[in-house]
Amino acid sequence: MVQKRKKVRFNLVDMLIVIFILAIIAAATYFLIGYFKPDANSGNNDFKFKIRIENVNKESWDSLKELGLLNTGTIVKDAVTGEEIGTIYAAEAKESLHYGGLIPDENGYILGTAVSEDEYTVYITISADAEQDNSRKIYKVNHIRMLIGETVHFKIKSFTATAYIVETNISDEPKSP
Amino acid sequence: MNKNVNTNKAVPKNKKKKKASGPRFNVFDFLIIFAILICAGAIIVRAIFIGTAKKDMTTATVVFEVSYISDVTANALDKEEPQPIYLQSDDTRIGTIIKAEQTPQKILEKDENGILQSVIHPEKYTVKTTANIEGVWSDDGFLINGTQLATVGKTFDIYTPYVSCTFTVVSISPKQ
Repeated sequence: MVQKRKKVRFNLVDMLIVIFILAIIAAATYFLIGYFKPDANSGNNDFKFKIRIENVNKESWDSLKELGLLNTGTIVKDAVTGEEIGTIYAAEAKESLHYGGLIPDENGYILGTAVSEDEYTVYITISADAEQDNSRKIYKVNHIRMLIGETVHFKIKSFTATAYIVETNISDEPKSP
Repeated sequence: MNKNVNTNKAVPKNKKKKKASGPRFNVFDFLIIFAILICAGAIIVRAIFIGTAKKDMTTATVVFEVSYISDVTANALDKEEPQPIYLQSDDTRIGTIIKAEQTPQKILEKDENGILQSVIHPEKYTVKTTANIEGVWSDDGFLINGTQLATVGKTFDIYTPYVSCTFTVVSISPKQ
């Protein structure tokens, strides 16, 4: 007995849904291509910038140093995206200063200052491949704009922190020991 | 002659003809079509709105302030030459900084009697910038680039060729 083939029914609603989904895919593709397209022209594969990380626990910092995780050449990644940003060029730590309270002086009051016993303010210079957006004349490293005040989600082995750029396009300076 | 002979043609018991099969619409199909039409309509209206807004673009003088920043950031804002300003969200240029004024940051602290005293923070600064911003005047106020309403107190994440920070609107007025 011959069984009848079931006819595939394709109606107007199905067509509209397919067109709508294709339009969404096309728009997403267009925006993604724009996002990943390298910015206009020139790059700098020895671009150096300095970041600041505040209130780093002294013990944690000292142990990172002992483990050699702050040596020149250590890979730095973006803690959010996991992408490689660059490598450590130099790292230094200064004791954190805290401000608060009033101290009388001849003109009235000044703000009290105290050196923190257990925290550092850390400055890390990172060497990276940077691309320059010629129209805006700014450098970017993995879509991070190399501008003072820009946030960097810093990550090395065993340590992550939110940092801010304090200096860009640095010329050669003494490396960390 | 046989009177019982039935000479009529046989008539099928089921006289109803089967309906030709075709597209069948139900409530969910209508809902889907309606949703798609709404989305398409919203896109078209938005495109028309942006197109209309661009025709009415004008320039306003906006004073922004950024507080509690380091000397490095303050110096990066306080440049002699005019600086373009871009929105961090979509990289669109919104205007130009024409003037910047840097002052030490004042904060309030309680003295020994519990009275608030204003003192200068030794490491923090406030920068007030005056900028020419492109936008449209509407009934609700000034729309930066025709899309974002700028009101006193509102913050914008912006960047210039030197610095990235958050500006707070202090005042808005038509450009003289």
